[in-house]
Amino acid sequence: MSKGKLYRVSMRFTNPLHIGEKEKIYNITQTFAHSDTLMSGIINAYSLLYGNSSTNELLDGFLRKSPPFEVSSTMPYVQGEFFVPKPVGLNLHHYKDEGKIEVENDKELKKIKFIRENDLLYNFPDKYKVAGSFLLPKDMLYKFVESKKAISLGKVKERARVSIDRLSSSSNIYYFSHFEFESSAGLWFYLRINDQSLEEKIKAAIRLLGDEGLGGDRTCGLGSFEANFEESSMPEENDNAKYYMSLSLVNPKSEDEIKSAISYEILTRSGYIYSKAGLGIKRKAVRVFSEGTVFSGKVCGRVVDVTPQKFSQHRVYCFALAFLLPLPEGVMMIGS
Amino acid sequence: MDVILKGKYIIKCKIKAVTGLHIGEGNNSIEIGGIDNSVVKDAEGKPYIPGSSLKGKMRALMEFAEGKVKDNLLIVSVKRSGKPEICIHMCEDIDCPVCGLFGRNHGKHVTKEEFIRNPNAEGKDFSDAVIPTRLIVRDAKLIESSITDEMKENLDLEWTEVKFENNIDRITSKANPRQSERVPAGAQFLAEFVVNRYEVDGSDDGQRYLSKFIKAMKLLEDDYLGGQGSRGNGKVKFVDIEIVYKDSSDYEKDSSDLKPIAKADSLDQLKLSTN
Repeated sequence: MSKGKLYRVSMRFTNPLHIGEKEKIYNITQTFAHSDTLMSGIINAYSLLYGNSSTNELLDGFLRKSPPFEVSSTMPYVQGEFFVPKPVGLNLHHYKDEGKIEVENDKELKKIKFIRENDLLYNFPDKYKVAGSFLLPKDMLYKFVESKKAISLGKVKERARVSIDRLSSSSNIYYFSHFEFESSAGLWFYLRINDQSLEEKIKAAIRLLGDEGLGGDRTCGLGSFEANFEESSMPEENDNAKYYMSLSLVNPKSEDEIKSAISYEILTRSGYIYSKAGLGIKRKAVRVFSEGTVFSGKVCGRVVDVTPQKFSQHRVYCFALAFLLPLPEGVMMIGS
Repeated sequence: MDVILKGKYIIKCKIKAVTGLHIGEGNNSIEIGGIDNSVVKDAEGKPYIPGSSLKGKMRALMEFAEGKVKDNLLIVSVKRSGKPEICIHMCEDIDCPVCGLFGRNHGKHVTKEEFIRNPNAEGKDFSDAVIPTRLIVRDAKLIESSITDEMKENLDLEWTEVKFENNIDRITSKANPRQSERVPAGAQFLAEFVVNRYEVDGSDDGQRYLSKFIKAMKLLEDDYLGGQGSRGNGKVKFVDIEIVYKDSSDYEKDSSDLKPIAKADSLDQLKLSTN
């Protein structure tokens, strides 16, 4: 894997966000954008800024297996604390038995979805409590939780949308869901820039994406954010890390990569093409390992060609390169 | 097709409710003791103006003003029991100011004229004219201080008033009252609009779409926003307008200090420098 400059990009949403779950269903929204959605947004913004030919050059890098930059999926941050998904198959019961996690009943363990990045990287050095879907150090609980038991990122709201006939004024109502982040919460992702000469351009594309918006219903104001770049570093890569967790969607490139997935979840990614040349055409569906999937070694993943048969203007790709986080020594997985 | 972003005109302004404003939430269910006809509110329970309401209204007004409401220029967007229920304007004319600013939809569309002739018509694909939509309308958030403590004393709910409306039988005089929630006159909202300036296959938009958009703003001031506008609701006024131009090269800088290209207290004082 290439070693590039690593940024932690936090997105402070200035407007609610709509991330579609399935085609033609508007009244369901996801809270997080997967890495392929994010990458597609960045590439489209890049193409708006620099035109078709330089975008094709950029894409060539991805296809030649030397990606000029990589991104992870988006993950939540609350009050300056950055969270990552819980690794699939992390043995939380073991930590409970060790006395590191205090719970009233075991069910709370099941609800944990997010862990502070640093807690995971240093194999839970503290004492912890569960707050909704977040695992938090005990002495930090007061910072997030006042009277409520769970941390709230925000709320899902439904907005009524209506189309009105120009002559008869008869109306057709439909509903559109969006997610409203609380002022102290938002999303963040990792950005690794491997080709230094493109650094400013990539950042420009992300800033533009912030103004254009991520997700659906952008021209009605949804999905806009302010991006903040903060240089960051990963823990020292030690080659004997036993496990790697993916922070992005991964489509394995070989049989070996499939076999190295120890605990995983599989998602189906489908949807429509968004580009200057084509809208409203369905792309091919592809199956991927979700964020939090644990691999026994380094995997690379691949960029999948999902161009539908009838579409000839350009190729369409689904970004599914792995963005890995090495798990520390001694981390307890189920079955290990 | 090659579309390159030249820059963005960002229009920041306040929207002032000159009369009470009712943008309905379209609730299917009614809470006990609740109001039957509530207004949209954000997650904090404060009323706001959804970007889609502003955009949709402006689009409709522009269609009339640009002479686009004709059977051969309207497309059928919803049909019900074989009849064209909802028709709006959309076309494949690349220079159409309405579609150019507010956007086109992909897929096949049947015009109203064609539909009346043949309800099973195939329709036409406008994809060749589809480019990313130029206009972005953000949700307009309530400026809390615009609803003063004095106003709050007279309000029925925290941010809104409840207005009673009534139907009266012409002969028996039997009343049929209903309640309607609205944002009180004097409330202000913080609005932001973005008009993208593109270069499409070598031809630059310049300020064409910006001036069209200002026309749409003026049209909206003399119309109404939200519901029950023909009965006094929904008169709005744009105040404290500031237009900033952000060049696409500004995105490569970490921070940019942009100077407004136009500034005015109200729309009729607004003058664009020809640059």
